[in-house]
Amino acid sequence: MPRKKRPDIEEILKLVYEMMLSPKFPTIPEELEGVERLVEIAGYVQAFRDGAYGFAHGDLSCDLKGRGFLIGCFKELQANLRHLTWFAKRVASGDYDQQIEFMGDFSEYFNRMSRDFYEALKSLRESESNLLKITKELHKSEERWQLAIACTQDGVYDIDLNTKKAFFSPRAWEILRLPLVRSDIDYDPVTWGSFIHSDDLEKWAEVLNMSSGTKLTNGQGKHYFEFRVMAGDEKYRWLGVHHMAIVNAEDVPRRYVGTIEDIQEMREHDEEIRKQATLDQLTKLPNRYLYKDRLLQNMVMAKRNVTSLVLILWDLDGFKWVNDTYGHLAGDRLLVVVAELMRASLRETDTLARFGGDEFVMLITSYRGHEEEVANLTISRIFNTLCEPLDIGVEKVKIGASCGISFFPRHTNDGEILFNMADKALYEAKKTGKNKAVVWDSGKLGQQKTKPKRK
Amino acid sequence: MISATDGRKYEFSWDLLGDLAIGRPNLGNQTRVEVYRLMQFTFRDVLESKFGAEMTDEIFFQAGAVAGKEFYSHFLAEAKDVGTFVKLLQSTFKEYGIGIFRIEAADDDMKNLVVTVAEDLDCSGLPELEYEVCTYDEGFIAGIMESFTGRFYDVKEIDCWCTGDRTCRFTVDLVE
Ligand SMILES: [Zn+2]
Repeated sequence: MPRKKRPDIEEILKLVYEMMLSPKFPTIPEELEGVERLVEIAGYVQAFRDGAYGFAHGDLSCDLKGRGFLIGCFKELQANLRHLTWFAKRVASGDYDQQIEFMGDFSEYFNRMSRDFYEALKSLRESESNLLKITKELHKSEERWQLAIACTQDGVYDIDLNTKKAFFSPRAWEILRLPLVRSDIDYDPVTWGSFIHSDDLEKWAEVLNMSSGTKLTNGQGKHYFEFRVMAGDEKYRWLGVHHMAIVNAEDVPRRYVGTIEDIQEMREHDEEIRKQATLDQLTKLPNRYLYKDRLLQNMVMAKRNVTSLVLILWDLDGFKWVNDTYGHLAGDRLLVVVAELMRASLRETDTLARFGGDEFVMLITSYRGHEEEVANLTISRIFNTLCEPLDIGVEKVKIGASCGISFFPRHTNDGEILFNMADKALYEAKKTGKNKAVVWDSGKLGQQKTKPKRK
Repeated sequence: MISATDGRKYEFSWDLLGDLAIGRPNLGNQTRVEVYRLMQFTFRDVLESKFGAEMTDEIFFQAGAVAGKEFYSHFLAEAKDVGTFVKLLQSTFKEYGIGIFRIEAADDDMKNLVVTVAEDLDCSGLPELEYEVCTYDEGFIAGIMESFTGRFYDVKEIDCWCTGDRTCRFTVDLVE
């Protein structure tokens, strides 16, 4: 063991100097005597230097041994930095609600930053939750709309007039039967108009011109139209359209929405009912009601145009015999054949009606020439036709016919009286023989008191 | 309520702190830290001479723990998550002049923590001694942590003004 020696002041100062300033920490020589305090100081300074070196490289974990004011302050600095690290960790994990205090300007800026994060996050979450709510609502309403479209028997359309894009639900396409590409179709009024029946184009124009007063409030501004639209097979079909034009602030339509229903069958059904009510079921000729309607119309026209009408009332001769001999079916067949023949010898504008039994009514209109001439021409055409044997299925039969004639307005201005006059003339014709035609003569027939009452 | 059951005169209740608004209309809640320390260290003196240093530390720790639980239930109970708890703890320590509380390190499940209390009410500015003196604070922190987590913690002061540091540092470890 080396003998200890007392260090001189120069030696001690050199050691302290190196401890404090030298990059390399000095070794305290073991042979020095009475330097315990120096060794202790060296320990503190070394710890301090190690810690400072760690801090300089971002390492806060050093275990600072020793005590005293300098190390104490240094440990507080370490504590603060570690506290800030913990704080940053909190912020990183989403806790923006912490406050740093007693760290001067740093506290202020850090707190402001985390407060801003906090506010930003809060408003972001609010926006997110609002957006979510809106999305949910939107989804619900979209779903509702889809379900409504899927459930309804009507087609739905939605046409944006700004973008010219038209939406038609699958059912709408089914109803429309148009020869058009179905998806992503452009709205073009000219093309669409070309599918519409010429008689309905006026209604179409009305649809296009709709603007004022068709705002989307309380369902007001909804209009119903019925169109005939030409389907792919070039037949016109009836469509019912509930149409609504949604207008902008300047009252200009910006959107058309509505529903389309297929009313073809309904229309056909209505037509059938109408025909049944106005046509004779056997011969399909107008019945008494339709005849009256036609008579009235023609009387109005005749008055306006200062023309006349000829009424010829027919009754078949031999009809009862056919019925009795060949049965009712043969009788019916006879009536159909006669109806066809009579119809064929008249013009479109004339009316041939059957009131039941073997009685036929002719109303002849819009002719040139004198009433008698027209009446004679028509009657001789019918007589010529009827003198040929008629094919009633089982056999060919020969029958005859008689007729009574009256003129409007020469004989009367009244439709009912006009008919009665022809009826009396017919009675006269039947009375005097078969295949006869008698014109009403007021002087002769008008005086008869013993006329038979006819319906 | 102050009661004298089982021969006890002062089983702690918050009511014992009194109504300061009525009781001290002029001075209110004002006092001086010297007075607080005067009381604490005279108590320490008498207790130590009667029961020894170790028992005195034990008594101070337990008293601190009772205080910590009471303090928690009066000022911190509303905090449900760690973030709010720490924030509230920090602001209440400051507001009541106990010290500047900071968390220096903490794991996510709050099992092991290192916390510091600077400018501590008990010890900041005391002469340097060879040992840490803040046993009351240890108990106080243990009581608060137990109330918040429902689990027991071992709290030890590892640095103190009295041992030459500028801040008191405590390790807070869950007793598993
Ligand atoms: Zn302390």
